[in-house]
Amino acid sequence: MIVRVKLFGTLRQYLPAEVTGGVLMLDVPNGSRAIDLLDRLDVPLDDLESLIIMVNGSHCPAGHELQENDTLSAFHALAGG
Amino acid sequence: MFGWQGKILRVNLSEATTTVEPVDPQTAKDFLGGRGWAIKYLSDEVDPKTDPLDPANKLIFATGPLTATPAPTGNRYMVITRSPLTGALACSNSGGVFPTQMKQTGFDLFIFEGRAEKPVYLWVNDGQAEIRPAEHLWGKNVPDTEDALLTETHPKAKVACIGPAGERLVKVAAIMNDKHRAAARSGVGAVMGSKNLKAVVVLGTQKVSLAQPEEMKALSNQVRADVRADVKKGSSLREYGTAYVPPVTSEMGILPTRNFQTGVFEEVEAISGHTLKEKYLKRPKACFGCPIACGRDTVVDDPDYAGEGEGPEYETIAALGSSCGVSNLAAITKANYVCNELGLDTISTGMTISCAMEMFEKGFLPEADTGRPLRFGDADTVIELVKLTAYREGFGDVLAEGSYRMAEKYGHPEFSITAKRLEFPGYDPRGAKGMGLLYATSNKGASHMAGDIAYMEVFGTPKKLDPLTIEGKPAYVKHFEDIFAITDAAGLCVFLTIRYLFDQDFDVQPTRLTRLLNFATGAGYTKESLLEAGDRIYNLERLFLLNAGFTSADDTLPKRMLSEPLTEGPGRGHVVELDRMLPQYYQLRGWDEKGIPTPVKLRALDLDY
Repeated sequence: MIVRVKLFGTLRQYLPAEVTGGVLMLDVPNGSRAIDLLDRLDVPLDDLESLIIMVNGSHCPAGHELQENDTLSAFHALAGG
Repeated sequence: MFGWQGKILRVNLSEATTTVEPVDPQTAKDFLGGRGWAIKYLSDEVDPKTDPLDPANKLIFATGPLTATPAPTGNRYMVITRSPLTGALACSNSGGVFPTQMKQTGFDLFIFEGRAEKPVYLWVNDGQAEIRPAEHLWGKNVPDTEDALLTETHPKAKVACIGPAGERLVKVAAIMNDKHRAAARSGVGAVMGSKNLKAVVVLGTQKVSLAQPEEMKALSNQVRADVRADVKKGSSLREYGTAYVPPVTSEMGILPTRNFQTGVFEEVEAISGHTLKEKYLKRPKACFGCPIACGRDTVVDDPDYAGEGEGPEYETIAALGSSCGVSNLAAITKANYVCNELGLDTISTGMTISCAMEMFEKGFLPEADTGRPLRFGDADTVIELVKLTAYREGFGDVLAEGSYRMAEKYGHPEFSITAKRLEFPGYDPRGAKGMGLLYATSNKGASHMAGDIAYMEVFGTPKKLDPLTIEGKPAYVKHFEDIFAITDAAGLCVFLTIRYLFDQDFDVQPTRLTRLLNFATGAGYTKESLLEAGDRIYNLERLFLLNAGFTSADDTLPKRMLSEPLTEGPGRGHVVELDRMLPQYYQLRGWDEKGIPTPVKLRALDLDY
């Protein structure tokens, strides 16, 4: 299934360099979880508490199972503006 | 005294006199400092019904007990007065370098009263205060004013001043310090202008005495180490400034877009921190004593928008960018520079322009009045309107009154996205419900700085909170309002406090902050007494509003937030269920059903005098 991945702030470095517009399209096996995709992109997962993970703009746990056409996004928990 | 300098400088501009007053130690402790002391003096000395631009209104510059100490980010000051934009409390916060120098002059507070006959500035050099003529500075923009003042005072002095906007009593005028930093909100610049006070110049070497200097140093170093660890992991604030946020809030469907008609901006990538870093960033810029460095030194070489300065930060990008439908980051940055140079609040200025754009596009603002078409996405018009606003020229004279008065003048106040007439900051509360309750109840109107619950609803700091639920929100909002009051009173930056000085649990208890305050002041605060002080400050501010004529009917939001659901993003279909949160909030605050603090509550806080 196809899903989109957006990484914000300093996590952006884990998107492949050729990605333009900040959105990566990925073909992943059915049943893939948010954490599986982040791991595949080498996002450090040692401190899950400080990682904000969203699917279609809503916060969700790392184990959330993705559906076709979902958008997964993530950033470090930090203060904003 | 420890922590506090223990002295107030009172400046009577009508009489051209300055006097020094001691601070009562019990008042010092009970109201903490900064914002807390300021509301105590304001409510003791100013009739809340006073016309904000009348000489009887007072303007207070306030540092806190941690300002000019080793505490990281201990370099904030507050400007407190009755707001000409809202009629409520103005309580605007700024950093830079000015606050530390101000406190090192030997004073915690400057209180300005009356009105000078002709333009003046105040020069305070190590305890010596002098009111000097400023007619030669009147009309100058912010950088030119500062340059001129450094020449005639001292090259190492620090300056807070108004630009042409404050001189013209523009109701969205800011007080700028260190050229690029702003005590921005609620029209504080207009109050300064109404007093014919062009600038305040400070230079000081009077170090703050600390009760436990070694302990203060050790804990401060520990906090700095924590910040450094985050920076090593990858600090988005350091790398991109708060400009990293627009893609986050757009994804969540809460980035103000075209005057809050939606929360998803299709061109958000163009206005992100990545674009800023790639094209315009010179270097990150820290306030004095700050290990985070979220500020941006930038330069734009695009000939149409050429300039150099600081910014833009998130709020500015939301207000002058997405809310105006503008995706040209060079133009947004230029508009930011112009606001800084002329002395305008970027939030209220941008949001007022976006309100005008919606009204124009819907046919409620005639081109005969606006002088040009006002269309979303027209970056050059935004920059032009910023200038017109600052000088009150043409349609700028209408914009200078803020969005509420403008929209009301044309018969459609519902297009003004304000609470208590203060323009919303960059979070659409239909997709972050706690922010809705905050905007509605805040003593200054719609300000994120009143108790930014978006830290939890959006950024997961210190813990994640579902933005779309109203469950539990009244308690969190009340608590955040109190801890922001403490932070503002202490003289620290909320970016640091919320993440590094509070317990990382859902209770958000000010463990390290309590210790820092005790190491500075020796006042023996407990977590409980500190939170009570926050509650006390908040309630005294509330009393000021009630005595100014505000009622529970003013604790509300624009119709769009209450009855027009978001049409896209995760908050699709959502409005703010304010009526379901407000009664519980009042109850938690110890207020009656009309939002009035009960006698029992006032007695508990020693406010029943």
